[in-house]
Formats: sequence, C-alpha cells, structure tokens
Amino acid sequence: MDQNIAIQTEDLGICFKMPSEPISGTKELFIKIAKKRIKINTFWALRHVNLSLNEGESIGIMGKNGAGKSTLLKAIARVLTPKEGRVYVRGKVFPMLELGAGFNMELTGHENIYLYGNILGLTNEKVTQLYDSIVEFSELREFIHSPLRSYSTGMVARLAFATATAVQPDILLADEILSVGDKDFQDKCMDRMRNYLNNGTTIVFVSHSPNSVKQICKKGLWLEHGQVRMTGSAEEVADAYAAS
Amino acid sequence: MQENLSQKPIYDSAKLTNSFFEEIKGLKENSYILRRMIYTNFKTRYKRSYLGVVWSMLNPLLNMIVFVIIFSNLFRFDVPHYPLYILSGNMIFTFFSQSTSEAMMQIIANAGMLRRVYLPKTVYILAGIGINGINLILTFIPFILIALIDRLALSWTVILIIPVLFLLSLFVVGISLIVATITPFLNDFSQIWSVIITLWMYLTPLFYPVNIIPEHLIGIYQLNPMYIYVTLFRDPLLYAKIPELSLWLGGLIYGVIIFAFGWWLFTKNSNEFAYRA
Repeated sequence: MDQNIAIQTEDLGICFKMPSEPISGTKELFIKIAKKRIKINTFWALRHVNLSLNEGESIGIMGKNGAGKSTLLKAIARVLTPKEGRVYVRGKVFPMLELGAGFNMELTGHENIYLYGNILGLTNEKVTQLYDSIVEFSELREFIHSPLRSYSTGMVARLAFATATAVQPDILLADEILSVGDKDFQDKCMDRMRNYLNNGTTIVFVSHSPNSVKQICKKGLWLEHGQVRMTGSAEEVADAYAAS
Repeated sequence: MQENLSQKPIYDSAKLTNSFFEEIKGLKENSYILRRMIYTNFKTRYKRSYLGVVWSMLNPLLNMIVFVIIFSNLFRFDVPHYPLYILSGNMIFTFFSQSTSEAMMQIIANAGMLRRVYLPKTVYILAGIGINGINLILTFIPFILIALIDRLALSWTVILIIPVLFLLSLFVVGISLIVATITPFLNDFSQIWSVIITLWMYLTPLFYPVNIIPEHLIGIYQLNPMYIYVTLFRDPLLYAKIPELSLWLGGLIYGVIIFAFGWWLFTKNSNEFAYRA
C-alpha cells in the first residue's frame, strides 16, 4: 500500500439484514419461522464505494439523510466492519461521531475527561498533561467538578469537542459537529480544525451545509442511496449538491 | 505533538482474519480503558444510595442470616461452621451468577458506545466481571468477621484459594462470553438464563450438605462445575483440607475449555454486535 495513503476503501459495501416484519420476541420468531412468513431483507447502506485519501487531505461528504454518510464514517472508524470490499486506514483515528458518546452522565466533568480521553486512546498521563488546555478550551472551569447530568446539551458538546481535539489526531472524522454551541464556539472549532489541517491531519467531514464543506475541505464526495453520485473538488461537488 | 508519526497504527479490514488473537492484542493495547471502565462502573453503581459500597458487604451477610435462620431451624443440617459454609458458597455462586447476568446485558447496555467508537468488545464484558471480582474480594471482610465470631481456625491451606479463584475466573469469563454472544441475537435469552441460574443454584451445595444427595446420583451431581469450584474453595478455607486431585483436575479442565470456547465464540461474532445493538 502506498505510504501516503491515509484512508482507502475498495468497493466497500455495508449492509443491514432486516426482517420483513417486526419480530417482538422469541415466541413470535418461532411462529413466523414455522409459518415461513419471515423474509430477511438486505438493505445496502453503502455499496461500491471507492475512496482514496492521502495524508493531510480533507474530504467533505455530502448527501441527504440516509444516504450513508454516517455509515461511511463508521466503516472508517472500524465500528462497522465491511460486508463487501475492503477498508484500509493508516493512522490514529479520532471519531467524533455524535459528540459525547462514551460520556457517563453520573460522573463529573473532570472524571469524564479522563473516561472519554481513555476511550479515544489517550493514556492517563497524557490526559493529565492535556487537562488544563481541555478545560480552558471548553470554557467550563467553574462546572468541571459537577456531575455531567447537570450540564446543558451545549456544555456537554463543548467538553466533548475539547477533549476529542486536545491532541492533533492523524485522522479526524467529524459528523455534523459544527452544529454545536453558539457562534463563537463554532468559530473556535473551525479554527482548530483548520489549524490541524494545516499541520497534516487528514479530515473526513460530514455536513449538510455546502458552505462549511467549501471552507474546510479540498475534496468532495456526494453520496446518494449508499452509492457515490459524484466526486471531485470540494468546490465542484458542493455547488452541484447545492444546485440539486 | 506528532511523536508517533513513524509508527502509525494500521487498520486493514482485509487482514482481520484471526479474531481470537487479534482480540487479545487489542485488549492488551487498551488495558487502561478496561481499568477506567471498572473504576467508572464501581463509582456509579452505588452513586444514588446512602450506604454506597457498604452494600457489597452487607448484602451477602444479610443473605447468610436468612439462610441460617431458615435452614438451621427447619432442616437441622449438621454442617460444621454452617454460617461460613453458606457465606463461602454464596460468595462463589454470587460472583458467577452476577457476572454472567450482567455480562449478557453489556452489549445492549453499551449499544450507544458500540455504535460510535471501536473498542475491543471483550472490554465491555471484562469490565462487568471486574467489578463483581472487586465485590467478591470485599465480601472477605464480612467473612473474616464471622470467622472470628465462629472461632474458625485458619490453616496454611488458605493460600490454596488463590489458584481456585483463578480457575473460577476463567470459567466465569468463559460462560459470560458465551451468554453475551447469544443475547444480541436472541433478546429473550436473559429470561431463560435467570431460570437456568436458579436451577443451577439448587444443584450446587450452597446451603445443604452434599451427603443429602442420593448415592446413585452423586456421580452426575459431582460433574457440576459449580459444585467443583465451591468445594475447592471451602475445603482449604473452612476445613484445613487440601482438595482432592480429581477436583483440581475438574476445575482446571472446565476453566480452560469453557474460557477458550467462550473467547472463540465471542470474538468470532463480535464484529456483528455493532450491526445488532
């Protein structure tokens, strides 16, 4: 594999198998199997997706709800293993799929920084090193020893973003994260992402908004019904998507 | 900031062929997450109760009292150190039953995380067992208390419980991985398992002596792995006795085989969990 490749997918396919009718329990399952009424439908959330991204490049992924954008991120993040084709990823992946997954609402902000940091692959020593800068960036110093359940949604998201981006990652997967917080905080997040991009981070950025894709990314990918509709520069794809 | 530029980790889905060993490697790399999750579980478990962690010790003690009241008055079993006999049996069996019933729900309970971040899936199961392991160790505190009251003479054989607990843990992890693999595919299994556990409890000498079992059934009765582990635990702890070789062998075989089978089954299927959870 080429040394510069950060992410490559070859004919990637991900499918979910769903029964044609909802099954509410084992009893019903047996009855329906006995009556042969069950049909398993295969739903391809992604199919024949080819994507290649060099180190330090950024790609914006656009598409309607259900087009397979998040599924693609999950395949790159190793959450969903491919049913078809292949995924190759080189570098430490920081998945920011719905910020704050992995937080524990009963614990304090302080403890959650360690928990989330560990989940993202940072050792305790590393988190301790970064702790002050995380708290600083999240602007939550006064509340850091209160349990997370007392935080507002925006505060949780701020803490999550601050923790997730405290270290410059090799690969950053960002799913609609910029809808988080107020304008000032959004700008701060954008700055940080651009800064990392300039320093060699590979970014896969999912967004509904063609404008933010143009701002951050060089390349673009347009997904429709799980298949690639268009690839090209961010500019071209974003304009085509906006025009559709 | 870019200290590990030269040795970047590589994930290649085409190379995920040997899940059995991949998982061990992944778990080793993520051991600090396991520690963190055990700590987190432990901290949140009693968060909203006044007595907190004291319940870990109070619970088995209260259970023991109930059994002592009922069985030493109603059935009059003639077992030396009867309260400790019950307590020690319950320590072992509770560790087994709690660990397995929690393990089977781990995949569903952690669905939110499972669908968003990749972690070796055994982390979730082992974190659940780890906290029950801590609970087991904590129950030695009430045990020592009762042992002092009951004037139990401890002998050097006590150290034998360390290998016993190790073999038991292998068995418990193995069964936990098996039931944890079944549940995401068959949600009702948790109901079935609770019935199995109840049956299993009565088939294990927790509050009655083994000599009430009819002669012609004792051979089958002694095949029960929990019988083996409970006896392996009690003999050196309560009766200053080195357990028979056949018990050791049984404990070793059950532990190793169930563990290996559970690990194999779980890791073979663990990539499916994110699709199902």
